[in-house]
Amino acid sequence: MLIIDQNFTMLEEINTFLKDNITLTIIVATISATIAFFVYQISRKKFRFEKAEFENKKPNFVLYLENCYKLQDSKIDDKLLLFDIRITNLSTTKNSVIPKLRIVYFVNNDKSEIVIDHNPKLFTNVSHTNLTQFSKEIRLEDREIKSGWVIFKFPQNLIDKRIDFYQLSIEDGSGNHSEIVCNLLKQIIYEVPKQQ
Amino acid sequence: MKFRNNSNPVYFIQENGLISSTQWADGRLIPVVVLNSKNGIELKDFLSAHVSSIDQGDVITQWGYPFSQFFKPKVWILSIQFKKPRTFSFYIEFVLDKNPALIDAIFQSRGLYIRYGFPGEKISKGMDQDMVLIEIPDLKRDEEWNNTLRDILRSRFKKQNIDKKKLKDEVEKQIKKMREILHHRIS
Repeated sequence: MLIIDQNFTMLEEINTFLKDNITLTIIVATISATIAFFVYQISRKKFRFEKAEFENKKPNFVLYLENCYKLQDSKIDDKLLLFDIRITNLSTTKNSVIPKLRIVYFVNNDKSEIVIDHNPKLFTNVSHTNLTQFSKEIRLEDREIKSGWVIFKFPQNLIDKRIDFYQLSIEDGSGNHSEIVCNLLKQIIYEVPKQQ
Repeated sequence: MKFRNNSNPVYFIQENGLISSTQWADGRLIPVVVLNSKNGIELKDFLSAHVSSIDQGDVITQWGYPFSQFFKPKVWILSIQFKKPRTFSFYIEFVLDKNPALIDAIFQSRGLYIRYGFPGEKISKGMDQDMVLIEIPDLKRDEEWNNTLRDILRSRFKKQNIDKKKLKDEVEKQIKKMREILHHRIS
Protein backbone atom coordinates (compact mmCIF):
# COMPACT_ATOMS: atom_id res chain seq x y z
CA MET A 1 0.00 0.00 0.00
CA LEU A 2 2.80 2.30 0.83
CA ILE A 3 4.46 1.74 -2.60
CA ILE A 4 1.24 2.50 -4.46
CA ASP A 5 0.79 5.61 -2.48
CA GLN A 6 4.35 6.64 -3.26
CA ASN A 7 3.88 6.02 -7.03
CA PHE A 8 0.61 7.83 -7.03
CA THR A 9 2.21 10.80 -5.32
CA MET A 10 5.06 10.76 -7.87
CA LEU A 11 2.65 10.75 -10.83
CA GLU A 12 0.70 13.56 -9.28
CA GLU A 13 3.92 15.51 -8.88
CA ILE A 14 4.89 14.94 -12.54
CA ASN A 15 1.42 15.92 -13.63
CA THR A 16 1.57 19.11 -11.61
CA PHE A 17 5.06 19.82 -12.94
CA LEU A 18 3.96 19.38 -16.58
CA LYS A 19 0.84 21.48 -16.04
CA ASP A 20 3.04 24.25 -14.82
CA ASN A 21 5.47 23.82 -17.80
CA ILE A 22 3.34 23.77 -20.97
CA THR A 23 6.36 24.45 -23.20
CA LEU A 24 8.10 21.35 -21.94
CA THR A 25 4.94 19.30 -22.50
CA ILE A 26 4.77 20.44 -26.11
CA ILE A 27 8.47 19.63 -26.67
CA VAL A 28 8.05 16.11 -25.21
CA ALA A 29 4.94 15.52 -27.31
CA THR A 30 6.69 16.76 -30.48
CA ILE A 31 9.72 14.54 -29.87
CA SER A 32 7.43 11.54 -29.32
CA ALA A 33 5.49 12.31 -32.50
CA THR A 34 8.72 12.73 -34.50
CA ILE A 35 10.12 9.43 -33.24
CA ALA A 36 6.81 7.70 -34.06
CA PHE A 37 6.87 9.21 -37.55
CA PHE A 38 10.44 8.00 -38.20
CA VAL A 39 9.58 4.54 -36.93
CA TYR A 40 6.60 4.51 -39.32
CA GLN A 41 8.80 5.66 -42.23
CA ILE A 42 11.40 2.98 -41.53
CA SER A 43 8.70 0.28 -41.31
CA ARG A 44 7.19 1.49 -44.57
CA LYS A 45 10.55 1.44 -46.33
CA LYS A 46 11.20 -2.04 -44.98
CA PHE A 47 7.81 -3.19 -46.23
CA ARG A 48 8.46 -1.70 -49.68
CA PHE A 49 11.88 -3.31 -49.84
CA GLU A 50 10.52 -6.70 -48.81
CA LYS A 51 7.66 -6.37 -51.31
CA ALA A 52 10.11 -5.50 -54.13
CA GLU A 53 12.28 -8.45 -53.13
CA PHE A 54 9.24 -10.73 -53.19
CA GLU A 55 8.19 -9.39 -56.61
CA ASN A 56 11.72 -9.86 -57.97
CA LYS A 57 11.71 -13.49 -56.90
CA LYS A 58 8.49 -14.19 -58.78
CA PRO A 59 8.95 -15.78 -62.25
CA ASN A 60 9.12 -12.99 -64.79
CA PHE A 61 10.57 -13.36 -68.28
CA VAL A 62 10.16 -11.57 -71.58
CA LEU A 63 10.42 -12.92 -75.10
CA TYR A 64 11.71 -10.75 -77.95
CA LEU A 65 11.72 -11.80 -81.59
CA GLU A 66 14.79 -10.75 -83.57
CA ASN A 67 14.07 -12.57 -86.82
CA CYS A 68 11.96 -15.32 -88.26
CA TYR A 69 12.39 -17.46 -91.35
CA LYS A 70 10.74 -20.27 -93.22
CA LEU A 71 13.48 -22.43 -94.63
CA GLN A 72 13.11 -24.66 -97.63
CA ASP A 73 15.99 -26.82 -98.73
CA SER A 74 15.79 -28.93 -101.84
CA LYS A 75 17.89 -31.60 -100.04
CA ILE A 76 15.13 -32.28 -97.54
CA ASP A 77 11.40 -32.65 -97.95
CA ASP A 78 10.37 -30.70 -94.87
CA LYS A 79 9.98 -26.98 -94.48
CA LEU A 80 11.51 -25.59 -91.31
CA LEU A 81 10.54 -22.58 -89.25
CA LEU A 82 13.42 -20.77 -87.59
CA PHE A 83 13.08 -18.06 -84.96
CA ASP A 84 15.91 -15.95 -83.62
CA ILE A 85 14.79 -15.05 -80.11
CA ARG A 86 16.04 -13.23 -77.03
CA ILE A 87 14.80 -14.20 -73.58
CA THR A 88 15.27 -11.86 -70.64
CA ASN A 89 14.83 -13.27 -67.17
CA LEU A 90 13.76 -10.31 -65.02
CA SER A 91 13.50 -12.43 -61.91
CA THR A 92 16.20 -13.00 -59.29
CA THR A 93 15.42 -16.72 -59.27
CA LYS A 94 16.48 -19.33 -61.81
CA ASN A 95 13.90 -20.75 -64.18
CA SER A 96 13.57 -22.94 -67.22
CA VAL A 97 11.20 -22.48 -70.14
CA ILE A 98 9.97 -24.52 -73.08
CA PRO A 99 9.39 -22.85 -76.47
CA LYS A 100 6.24 -23.68 -78.40
CA LEU A 101 4.79 -22.50 -81.69
CA ARG A 102 1.10 -22.03 -82.32
CA ILE A 103 0.12 -21.80 -85.97
CA VAL A 104 -3.32 -20.37 -86.69
CA TYR A 105 -4.61 -21.20 -90.16
CA PHE A 106 -7.81 -21.18 -92.15
CA VAL A 107 -9.87 -24.16 -93.23
CA ASN A 108 -12.68 -22.92 -95.49
CA ASN A 109 -12.68 -19.49 -93.80
CA ASP A 110 -12.83 -21.06 -90.34
CA LYS A 111 -9.86 -20.64 -88.09
CA SER A 112 -8.04 -23.67 -86.81
CA GLU A 113 -4.76 -24.05 -84.96
CA ILE A 114 -1.92 -26.40 -84.25
CA VAL A 115 0.74 -26.26 -81.51
CA ILE A 116 4.18 -27.70 -82.19
CA ASP A 117 7.28 -28.11 -80.03
CA HIS A 118 10.78 -26.85 -80.62
CA ASN A 119 12.90 -29.73 -81.88
CA PRO A 120 16.68 -29.05 -81.72
CA LYS A 121 17.38 -32.27 -83.68
CA LEU A 122 16.15 -30.46 -86.79
CA PHE A 123 19.21 -28.18 -86.70
CA THR A 124 21.15 -31.00 -88.42
CA ASN A 125 19.08 -30.26 -91.54
CA VAL A 126 20.08 -26.59 -91.58
CA SER A 127 23.05 -25.58 -93.70
CA HIS A 128 24.02 -22.82 -91.24
CA THR A 129 26.05 -24.73 -88.67
CA ASN A 130 27.13 -21.72 -86.62
CA LEU A 131 23.68 -20.89 -85.24
CA THR A 132 23.37 -20.56 -81.47
CA GLN A 133 20.95 -23.37 -80.82
CA PHE A 134 18.56 -23.49 -77.92
CA SER A 135 17.99 -26.87 -76.33
CA LYS A 136 14.49 -28.28 -75.87
CA GLU A 137 14.36 -26.81 -72.37
CA ILE A 138 16.00 -23.42 -71.96
CA ARG A 139 17.58 -22.82 -68.56
CA LEU A 140 17.65 -19.22 -67.35
CA GLU A 141 19.92 -17.97 -64.59
CA ASP A 142 18.78 -15.06 -62.42
CA ARG A 143 18.64 -11.76 -64.35
CA GLU A 144 20.07 -13.47 -67.43
CA ILE A 145 19.57 -12.53 -71.07
CA LYS A 146 19.86 -15.38 -73.56
CA SER A 147 19.82 -15.21 -77.35
CA GLY A 148 19.53 -18.09 -79.74
CA TRP A 149 17.51 -19.97 -82.33
CA VAL A 150 14.56 -22.28 -82.01
CA ILE A 151 13.43 -24.56 -84.81
CA PHE A 152 10.12 -26.17 -85.72
CA LYS A 153 9.04 -28.50 -88.47
CA PHE A 154 6.33 -26.95 -90.61
CA PRO A 155 3.46 -29.46 -90.60
CA GLN A 156 2.97 -31.13 -93.98
CA ASN A 157 -0.80 -30.82 -93.75
CA LEU A 158 -0.53 -27.02 -93.65
CA ILE A 159 1.44 -26.64 -96.88
CA ASP A 160 -1.62 -25.75 -98.94
CA LYS A 161 -3.40 -23.92 -96.10
CA ARG A 162 -3.72 -20.17 -95.64
CA ILE A 163 -1.74 -19.24 -92.55
CA ASP A 164 -3.14 -16.43 -90.42
CA PHE A 165 -0.26 -15.98 -87.98
CA TYR A 166 2.49 -17.70 -86.03
CA GLN A 167 2.54 -17.27 -82.27
CA LEU A 168 5.77 -18.16 -80.54
CA SER A 169 5.61 -18.62 -76.80
CA ILE A 170 7.83 -19.69 -73.93
CA GLU A 171 6.32 -21.27 -70.84
CA ASP A 172 7.74 -22.37 -67.51
CA GLY A 173 6.56 -25.25 -65.31
CA SER A 174 4.15 -23.03 -63.36
CA GLY A 175 2.28 -21.90 -66.46
CA ASN A 176 3.85 -18.42 -66.65
CA HIS A 177 4.39 -17.50 -70.25
CA SER A 178 5.50 -14.80 -72.66
CA GLU A 179 4.46 -14.77 -76.29
CA ILE A 180 4.97 -12.91 -79.52
CA VAL A 181 3.02 -12.95 -82.79
CA CYS A 182 4.65 -13.02 -86.20
CA ASN A 183 2.61 -12.45 -89.33
CA LEU A 184 5.26 -11.97 -91.97
CA LEU A 185 7.90 -14.66 -92.24
CA LYS A 186 10.88 -14.33 -94.54
CA GLN A 187 11.43 -17.31 -96.78
CA ILE A 188 14.83 -18.82 -97.51
CA ILE A 189 15.02 -21.29 -100.36
CA TYR A 190 18.13 -23.34 -100.99
CA GLU A 191 18.37 -24.69 -104.47
CA VAL A 192 20.96 -27.42 -104.87
CA PRO A 193 21.72 -28.26 -108.50
CA LYS A 194 20.82 -31.84 -109.33
CA GLN A 195 23.76 -34.12 -110.07
CA GLN A 196 23.76 -35.64 -113.51
CA MET B 1 -8.03 6.01 -80.72
CA LYS B 2 -8.25 9.72 -81.48
CA PHE B 3 -5.25 11.69 -82.74
CA ARG B 4 -4.76 15.35 -81.94
CA ASN B 5 -2.66 17.57 -84.16
CA ASN B 6 0.95 17.27 -83.14
CA SER B 7 4.40 17.53 -84.60
CA ASN B 8 4.35 14.18 -86.45
CA PRO B 9 4.22 14.63 -90.23
CA VAL B 10 1.21 13.35 -92.13
CA TYR B 11 1.89 11.52 -95.39
CA PHE B 12 -0.66 11.17 -98.15
CA ILE B 13 -1.11 8.25 -100.51
CA GLN B 14 0.01 9.05 -104.04
CA GLU B 15 -0.25 5.56 -105.53
CA ASN B 16 -1.03 2.11 -104.23
CA GLY B 17 -0.91 -1.51 -105.30
CA LEU B 18 -0.30 -5.05 -104.13
CA ILE B 19 2.81 -7.20 -104.17
CA SER B 20 3.11 -10.90 -103.61
CA SER B 21 6.38 -12.75 -103.31
CA THR B 22 7.38 -16.27 -102.41
CA GLN B 23 10.16 -14.75 -100.30
CA TRP B 24 7.79 -13.12 -97.86
CA ALA B 25 4.85 -13.88 -95.63
CA ASP B 26 3.85 -17.27 -97.10
CA GLY B 27 3.26 -15.63 -100.48
CA ARG B 28 0.41 -13.41 -99.30
CA LEU B 29 -0.57 -10.27 -101.19
CA ILE B 30 0.73 -7.24 -99.35
CA PRO B 31 -0.39 -3.68 -100.16
CA VAL B 32 2.14 -1.05 -101.21
CA VAL B 33 1.69 2.70 -100.80
CA VAL B 34 3.68 5.49 -102.42
CA LEU B 35 3.77 8.34 -99.91
CA ASN B 36 4.58 12.00 -100.00
CA SER B 37 3.92 15.24 -98.14
CA LYS B 38 5.28 18.78 -97.89
CA ASN B 39 8.43 17.50 -96.17
CA GLY B 40 8.43 14.16 -97.90
CA ILE B 41 12.19 14.09 -98.24
CA GLU B 42 12.47 13.12 -94.55
CA LEU B 43 10.68 9.86 -95.31
CA LYS B 44 12.90 9.28 -98.33
CA ASP B 45 16.03 9.67 -96.18
CA PHE B 46 14.63 7.41 -93.50
CA LEU B 47 13.69 4.64 -95.97
CA SER B 48 17.13 4.83 -97.50
CA ALA B 49 18.75 4.54 -94.04
CA HIS B 50 16.43 1.67 -93.10
CA VAL B 51 17.14 -0.33 -96.24
CA SER B 52 20.92 0.03 -95.88
CA SER B 53 20.93 -0.66 -92.13
CA ILE B 54 21.65 -4.03 -90.54
CA ASP B 55 19.76 -3.13 -87.37
CA GLN B 56 16.21 -3.01 -88.69
CA GLY B 57 12.85 -3.67 -87.14
CA ASP B 58 10.82 -2.60 -84.13
CA VAL B 59 7.92 -0.55 -85.29
CA ILE B 60 4.80 0.39 -83.33
CA THR B 61 1.61 0.92 -85.30
CA GLN B 62 -1.81 2.14 -84.26
CA TRP B 63 -5.02 2.87 -86.15
CA GLY B 64 -6.99 5.97 -85.32
CA TYR B 65 -8.82 8.97 -86.70
CA PRO B 66 -8.53 12.75 -86.25
CA PHE B 67 -9.94 14.22 -83.06
CA SER B 68 -11.94 16.74 -85.12
CA GLN B 69 -13.83 13.84 -86.79
CA PHE B 70 -14.92 12.20 -83.57
CA PHE B 71 -18.48 11.28 -84.56
CA LYS B 72 -18.15 10.42 -88.25
CA PRO B 73 -14.57 9.96 -89.41
CA LYS B 74 -13.88 10.58 -93.08
CA VAL B 75 -10.30 9.39 -92.82
CA TRP B 76 -8.49 6.70 -90.90
CA ILE B 77 -4.96 7.36 -89.82
CA LEU B 78 -2.20 4.84 -89.35
CA SER B 79 0.33 5.99 -86.79
CA ILE B 80 3.76 4.51 -87.40
CA GLN B 81 6.67 4.77 -84.97
CA PHE B 82 9.97 3.31 -86.08
CA LYS B 83 12.50 2.53 -83.35
CA LYS B 84 15.33 1.29 -85.54
CA PRO B 85 17.64 2.28 -87.21
CA ARG B 86 16.51 5.59 -85.70
CA THR B 87 13.31 6.88 -84.18
CA PHE B 88 10.92 8.27 -86.75
CA SER B 89 7.20 8.78 -86.28
CA PHE B 90 4.63 9.77 -88.85
CA TYR B 91 1.02 9.30 -89.86
CA ILE B 92 -0.47 7.93 -93.08
CA GLU B 93 -3.87 9.28 -94.00
CA PHE B 94 -6.35 6.91 -95.64
CA VAL B 95 -9.47 8.54 -97.08
CA LEU B 96 -12.34 6.15 -96.38
CA ASP B 97 -14.26 6.91 -99.60
CA LYS B 98 -11.16 6.50 -101.76
CA ASN B 99 -9.15 3.76 -100.06
CA PRO B 100 -11.47 1.15 -98.47
CA ALA B 101 -9.97 -1.71 -100.48
CA LEU B 102 -6.48 -0.63 -99.52
CA ILE B 103 -7.29 -0.48 -95.80
CA ASP B 104 -8.99 -3.86 -96.05
CA ALA B 105 -5.91 -5.30 -97.74
CA ILE B 106 -3.79 -4.10 -94.79
CA PHE B 107 -6.18 -5.74 -92.34
CA GLN B 108 -6.17 -9.00 -94.31
CA SER B 109 -2.45 -9.24 -94.98
CA ARG B 110 -1.23 -7.69 -91.68
CA GLY B 111 1.50 -5.95 -93.64
CA LEU B 112 2.22 -2.79 -95.59
CA TYR B 113 5.05 -1.76 -97.89
CA ILE B 114 5.87 1.95 -97.82
CA ARG B 115 7.75 3.86 -100.50
CA TYR B 116 8.47 7.50 -101.19
CA GLY B 117 7.33 8.93 -104.50
CA PHE B 118 5.09 11.16 -106.52
CA PRO B 119 1.68 10.79 -108.19
CA GLY B 120 1.91 8.68 -111.33
CA GLU B 121 4.84 6.57 -110.09
CA LYS B 122 3.36 3.13 -110.54
CA ILE B 123 4.33 0.37 -108.12
CA SER B 124 5.45 -1.98 -110.90
CA LYS B 125 7.83 0.63 -112.32
CA GLY B 126 9.63 1.47 -109.11
CA MET B 127 10.59 -1.90 -107.73
CA ASP B 128 14.24 -0.83 -107.48
CA GLN B 129 13.41 2.02 -105.09
CA ASP B 130 13.82 1.87 -101.31
CA MET B 131 10.82 0.12 -99.86
CA VAL B 132 10.17 -1.00 -96.29
CA LEU B 133 7.78 -3.70 -95.18
CA ILE B 134 5.93 -3.00 -91.93
CA GLU B 135 4.07 -5.63 -89.97
CA ILE B 136 0.70 -4.34 -88.80
CA PRO B 137 -0.45 -6.92 -86.28
CA ASP B 138 -3.94 -7.53 -84.96
CA LEU B 139 -4.60 -4.25 -83.13
CA LYS B 140 -8.11 -5.29 -82.06
CA ARG B 141 -9.70 -2.98 -84.62
CA ASP B 142 -10.87 -5.67 -87.07
CA GLU B 143 -14.49 -5.59 -85.93
CA GLU B 144 -14.61 -1.79 -86.11
CA TRP B 145 -13.09 -1.87 -89.58
CA ASN B 146 -15.55 -4.54 -90.78
CA ASN B 147 -18.44 -2.35 -89.64
CA THR B 148 -16.92 0.74 -91.26
CA LEU B 149 -16.37 -1.15 -94.53
CA ARG B 150 -19.99 -2.32 -94.50
CA ASP B 151 -21.15 1.31 -93.98
CA ILE B 152 -18.99 2.54 -96.87
CA LEU B 153 -20.25 -0.15 -99.24
CA ARG B 154 -23.86 0.32 -98.12
CA SER B 155 -23.75 4.06 -98.89
CA ARG B 156 -22.09 3.32 -102.26
CA PHE B 157 -24.77 0.81 -103.20
CA LYS B 158 -27.51 3.18 -102.05
CA LYS B 159 -26.20 5.75 -104.53
CA GLN B 160 -26.41 3.05 -107.22
CA ASN B 161 -30.11 2.59 -106.35
CA ILE B 162 -29.74 -1.04 -105.33
CA ASP B 163 -32.89 -2.51 -103.82
CA LYS B 164 -32.88 -1.97 -100.03
CA LYS B 165 -33.90 -5.60 -99.37
CA LYS B 166 -30.88 -6.86 -101.28
CA LEU B 167 -28.50 -4.27 -99.85
CA LYS B 168 -27.18 -6.41 -96.99
CA ASP B 169 -26.54 -9.43 -99.22
CA GLU B 170 -24.84 -7.31 -101.86
CA VAL B 171 -22.51 -5.77 -99.27
CA GLU B 172 -21.51 -9.21 -97.95
CA LYS B 173 -21.01 -10.50 -101.50
CA GLN B 174 -18.79 -7.53 -102.34
CA ILE B 175 -16.65 -8.03 -99.21
CA LYS B 176 -16.26 -11.73 -99.99
CA LYS B 177 -15.22 -10.90 -103.56
CA MET B 178 -12.70 -8.29 -102.39
CA ARG B 179 -11.12 -10.73 -99.95
CA GLU B 180 -11.00 -13.69 -102.31
CA ILE B 181 -8.04 -12.18 -104.13
CA LEU B 182 -6.37 -11.07 -100.91
CA HIS B 183 -6.56 -14.57 -99.46
CA HIS B 184 -4.78 -16.06 -102.45
CA ARG B 185 -1.27 -17.30 -101.71
CA ILE B 186 1.40 -17.83 -104.30
CA SER B 187 3.81 -20.69 -103.73
